[in-house]
Amino acid sequence: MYNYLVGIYGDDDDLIQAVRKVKDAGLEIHDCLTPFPIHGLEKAMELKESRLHTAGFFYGATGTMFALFCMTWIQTYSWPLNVGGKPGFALLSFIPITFELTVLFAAVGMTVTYYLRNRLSIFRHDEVLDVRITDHKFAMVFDLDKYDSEEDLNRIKRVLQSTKVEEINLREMQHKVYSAEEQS
Amino acid sequence: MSHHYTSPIREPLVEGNKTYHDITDDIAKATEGSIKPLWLVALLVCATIGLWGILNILYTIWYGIGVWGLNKTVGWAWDITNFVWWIGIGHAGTLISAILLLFRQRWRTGVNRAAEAMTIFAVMCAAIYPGIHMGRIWLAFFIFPYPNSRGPLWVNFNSPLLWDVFAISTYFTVSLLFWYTGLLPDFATIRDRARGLRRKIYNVLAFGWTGTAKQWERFESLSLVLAGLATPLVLSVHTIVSFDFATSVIPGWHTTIFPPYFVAGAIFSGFAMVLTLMLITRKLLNLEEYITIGHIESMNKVITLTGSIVGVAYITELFIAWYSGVLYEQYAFENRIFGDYWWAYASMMTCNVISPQLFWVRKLRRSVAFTFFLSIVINIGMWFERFVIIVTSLHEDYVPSSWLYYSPTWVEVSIFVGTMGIFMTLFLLFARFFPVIAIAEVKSILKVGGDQYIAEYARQDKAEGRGWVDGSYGAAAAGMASPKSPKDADYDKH
Amino acid sequence: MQLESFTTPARVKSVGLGLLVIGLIMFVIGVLTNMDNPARIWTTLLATNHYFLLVGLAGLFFVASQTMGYNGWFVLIKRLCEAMAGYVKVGAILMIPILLFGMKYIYHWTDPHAAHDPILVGKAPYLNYGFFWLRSIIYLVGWSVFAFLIVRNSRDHDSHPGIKHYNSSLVLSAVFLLFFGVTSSTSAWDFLMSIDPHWYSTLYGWYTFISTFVASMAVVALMIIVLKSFGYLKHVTEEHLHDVGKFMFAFSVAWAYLWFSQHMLIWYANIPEETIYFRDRWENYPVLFFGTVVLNFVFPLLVLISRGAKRRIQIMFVACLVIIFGHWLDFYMMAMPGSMKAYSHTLGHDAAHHFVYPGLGLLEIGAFLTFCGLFTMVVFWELSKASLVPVNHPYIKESIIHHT
Repeated sequence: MYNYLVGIYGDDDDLIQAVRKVKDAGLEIHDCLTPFPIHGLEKAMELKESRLHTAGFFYGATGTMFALFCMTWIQTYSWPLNVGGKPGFALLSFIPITFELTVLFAAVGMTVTYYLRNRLSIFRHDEVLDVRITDHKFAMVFDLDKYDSEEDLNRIKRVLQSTKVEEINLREMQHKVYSAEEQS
Repeated sequence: MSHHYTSPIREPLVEGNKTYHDITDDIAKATEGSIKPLWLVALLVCATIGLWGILNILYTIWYGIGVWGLNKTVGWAWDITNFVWWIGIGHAGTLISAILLLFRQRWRTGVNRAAEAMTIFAVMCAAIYPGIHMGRIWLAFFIFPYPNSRGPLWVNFNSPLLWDVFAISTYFTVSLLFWYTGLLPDFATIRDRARGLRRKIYNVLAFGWTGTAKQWERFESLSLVLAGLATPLVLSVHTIVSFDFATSVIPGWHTTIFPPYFVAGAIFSGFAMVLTLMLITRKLLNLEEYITIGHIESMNKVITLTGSIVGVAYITELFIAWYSGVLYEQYAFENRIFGDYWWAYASMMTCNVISPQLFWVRKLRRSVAFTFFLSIVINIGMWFERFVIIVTSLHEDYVPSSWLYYSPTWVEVSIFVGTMGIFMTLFLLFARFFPVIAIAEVKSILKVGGDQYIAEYARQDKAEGRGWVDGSYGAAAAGMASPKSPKDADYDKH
Repeated sequence: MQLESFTTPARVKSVGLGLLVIGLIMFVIGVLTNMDNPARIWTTLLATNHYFLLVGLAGLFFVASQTMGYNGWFVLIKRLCEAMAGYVKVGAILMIPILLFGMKYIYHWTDPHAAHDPILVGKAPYLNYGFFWLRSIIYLVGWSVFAFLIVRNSRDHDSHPGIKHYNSSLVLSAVFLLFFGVTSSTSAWDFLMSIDPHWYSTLYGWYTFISTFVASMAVVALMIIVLKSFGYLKHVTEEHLHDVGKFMFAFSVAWAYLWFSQHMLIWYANIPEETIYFRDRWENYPVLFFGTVVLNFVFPLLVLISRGAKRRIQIMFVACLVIIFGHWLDFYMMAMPGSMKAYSHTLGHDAAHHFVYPGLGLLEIGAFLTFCGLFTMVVFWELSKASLVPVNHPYIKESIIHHT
């Protein structure tokens, strides 16, 4: 059993303002859950910038090397074949496939990485903090196992009430909700 | 909030004063409730046509491609025409999602989801043709390079047909990943409105999406990079299709403009097909407030642009054929225009070059009925383009004694019609069980594209004394006194 | 928002003038040492002038296409592109003496011997003095007039708040794009492709256009960097620079795509009449010919691929210079080999056999620098004629709050 406090907001701009306020008050936000991507939220939450595109570059480069190496090896060493008088190492002819494999490796690599890093899988449980989060509500989550004293709880509530929070709910979950830190 | 702003002269992208919740309701609704009889009838009709196509494919495989009308000089005709036609249609989805993302065209959010789905289904239809043209489809795995016991005798990496294998499988894979990843949050939205087994199914489809900050942050990063990769990828696919012809020395095929010209043609036909389907879908699913007349107008402008590019390419080809001084090249074009297949050439020119120019008239490009009609005309025209390129260049080769006229058999026609049935069946299933509009993306543009917000920005701008606010969309929506001009007539309903 | 008037900083003026003077000195020395090879002089002039003319024109194309695309972000840099369009008339005027005096040295088809060449006889209905001049005048006058009309309309808007000028800009842009869509291809055939009069390629027109478009984006980025460093354009942020950088990157790739398509298809089909064009370049200009691919594709690909690089002024500055030079080199490579080959044949059989193809010398570099200086001076002079901020443009506020 895991315990969370969920502050529910009705607008994306309200959420960002609230995040700044809560951060200023020195509280640790477990995570924010929203129905769509909000520009500036990751900055307000001070999350680390995604390195996914860097990984993508290396996946792509692997594809480039793989394609060029294989075609060169096959056409010049494994079984050289003269078709239409084209040279074995015909770089101009290799470019289309090299390009395709670069894209394929980068795209597949990045997508697989994305699913793994975000723990997205078909076997994932369907317990959610609040069903309205994928609709029109914006949630700020606090981990009550960390803030377990009555005093902490009241402090969080006080800070949240100074923002445009609509509801403050206590939620007991069967499954752990990973924090933004743990997902990074 | 000050950081949201849109010029009030822009037309809204979401009409009807929608809230975030309204967007969810309007789009998710189509996937819920009992099945409508009209949909079921349509599905049965399409599936029957698709089945007829499959039977004819099986017939072809059983008896061999002798059951087609191919002859001594025309070694491929309807099969490759249909292949290129379907691949071309499969270009609009990625174009809308990727290139329009890079060019900051916000209107893409209304149509990208369905266009991407269409892409995937069209590529599936296209992939059928090279497969069945092989004759011995059970040996289709020979086209992949794998270490084998035949030498190893590898595939020929100098062949554009092999490049096609790589291009199309990559394109299919990447489009699928792009499309499916974009669907995750919307599946989660449907899941959270559902109960019981339905909830379980949509949770599996959503891969357990919850919408955490990190999920979204990486989601944005992934979408941008995939868009950046898909943009050259979509260009490469039709480029490589054009290489199938242009690397040869056949008059009419060997021309360097083919790569960009094929790409423009593919976008042209893809947009036409998106319009054909979306005009029906928006009507049946009541999505007029999300796919507005403004969306249709934007797509029609892309059609006019790409149609004109294709037109310039036709003229360029024609001129350079004369300018080259090569007799065979000159004859190939003379034969296209005045030869046995003059009717195909005339259809192509009328449908692709002349008809999209009608969209210069504002009234026509904002008319749903006319757009629907013209989208079909363009689909036909682009089919003829491929037919003209392929058959007219082949049917009269270098040896006049073997010149023949090619006509398709009923088997070829049935297979083509059948793939349309398969395509429509898949699209109908998609429209029933998947969110046809990207819910999360529409929500993310609501504050810059919603009509109530644009009216608000008009009030702000008016207060700051900006001259151009009068007569703008926002002014009309905000109910300010605005001078009426014929141009503003369509805004009156607000 | 308020009008932001601009006076060309003295340092920019002196850089422009310096380039012009130094370039001119080099060019004159080059001319004096190459009096025996007039084809080289005139072809250099033609390629360089046509390049800068088209770079200016591509600025106009950018304005027109962004207007038609209803893009908001570019409004703050619109005046920079319009200033580039102001160069079109200068380039057009310079084209006339170059063609008038240089035509017979540049274009082999003007040679009286062409009457005995069956291929050229076949092309004579198109490639003849009268029709060539008619087309040239249509291009040069047409482009200049459109540049004038579009820029005047935009500048008038500053003193006339309202929607009228914006609506006119849509109409003007659409008509210009139609005109440009046809003339950008046909002018490339006339001015450049007909230097190799036996050769033809359907892609040639679009290839030429993309080349100058990349360069014009580099010029815009360079102008942003320079103006920012003098304290102008305070609303223009790294977001705008990033967007221009994206165009530079994307169209460098697009250029490479067309370069590859044209080259590979001709190499692959292996028809002697077509491959001769590339053979001439492979054999006579191996370094310069493949150098254009390094400068215009490999370099921008590796340097500009990351998001950070497109926002770093120093990196962008270097990339811009490389691209502007690289695409000029591309134009040089389109024009010079054909002209030199024809020239070598006029020297008689033996001399043609031993002919040494000239590389980049004082003449070519001098011409490039001269035109760089001239272009800089004209564009900054045009820039000082109007406010840097088109205050009454309906998308101006969108451009100011623009963020990625």
